Amino acid sequence: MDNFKSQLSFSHQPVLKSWKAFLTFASLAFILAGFIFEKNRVYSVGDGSVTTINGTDYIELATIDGLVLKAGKLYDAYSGEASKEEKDCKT
Amino acid sequence: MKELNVGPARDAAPPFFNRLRFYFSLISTFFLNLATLGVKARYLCSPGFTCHGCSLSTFACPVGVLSFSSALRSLPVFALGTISFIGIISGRLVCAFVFPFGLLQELLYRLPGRKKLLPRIFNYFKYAALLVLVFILPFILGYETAVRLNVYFCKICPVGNLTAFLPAYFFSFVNSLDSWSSSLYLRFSILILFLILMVFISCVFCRSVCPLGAIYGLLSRFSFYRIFVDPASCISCGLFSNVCPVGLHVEKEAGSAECIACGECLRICPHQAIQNKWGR
Repeated sequence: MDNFKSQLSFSHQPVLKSWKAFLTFASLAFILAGFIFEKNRVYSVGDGSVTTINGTDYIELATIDGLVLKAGKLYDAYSGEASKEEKDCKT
Repeated sequence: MKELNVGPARDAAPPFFNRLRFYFSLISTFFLNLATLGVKARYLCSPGFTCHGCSLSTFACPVGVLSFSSALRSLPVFALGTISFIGIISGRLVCAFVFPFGLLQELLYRLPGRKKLLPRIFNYFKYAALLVLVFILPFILGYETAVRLNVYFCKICPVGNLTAFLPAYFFSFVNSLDSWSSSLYLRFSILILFLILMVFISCVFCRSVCPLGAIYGLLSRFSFYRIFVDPASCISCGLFSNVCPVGLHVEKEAGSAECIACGECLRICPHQAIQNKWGR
């Protein structure tokens, strides 16, 4: 463990450079994968039907209350019919 | 609590890095709150901590996205990628430069008063907040229960309470004090507690609560921006004792996960033994 720490403490060490490169590419891969493939299930507040929205829409439209307004239709991001009664968070 | 000696360092003329940090914080505060001008990019996570419940906010709150994704038991791939990428590129430099609540924190700390240093044990609280209130409890309990039990980070977040909940409550929703539930009292109590603590304790929110700081801190070891000690130039003069606003032993811990990259040590060292740079 100490050896690992001492390796990390010097930035010129190849170990740390490899970690940096790996994490950079991993995070970029996450961004790309999230942009293309991420889907989140939401439930229509009216009829309870299920649909999916992509990652960026999900970040943009879902509020802390768990509601999503997309194309004029209201969805519940957290759960179905049972939970939409009590939402005390006004933000 | 130990007292913090901020005298000589604060009295000196601020060098370029510190002035840059202050003005950059002001500018970033402006750019993170452009929604009233019609500029919104809330499909992206903000690099710094802002609440997207705030009607001014340009971007989405990264901690908010992680919290509600945990509550929904989904993996926010895009948000995680964005937060990680920012953390790897800049480490905790974001905490120093792009954090409006941090600017408020710094301004409040400039008010006169007996300054104290938070005990180091509180450094671990932000990791606990990240794990317990952002990931574990919302995931296990689900949104409704976590919110009802006040174990959901956004519910008690001082940033959200100040910038989103407080204006929304007073300008839109307030009817009478009778309608305040216990959780509302909890929200405001936490906010007021932090506003008071910020006058006396340096970086209290960053050190003890901020889950985003915890994430960036964990990533700072691998970040491209680094603050480090040049052993060849350091003469261990001890000038740094009680200067670091987060109470680090600068010679050993500059650039560590707890270092918020504020640059106070950069301005103190007469031998330029503390250095900062971008690079691999």
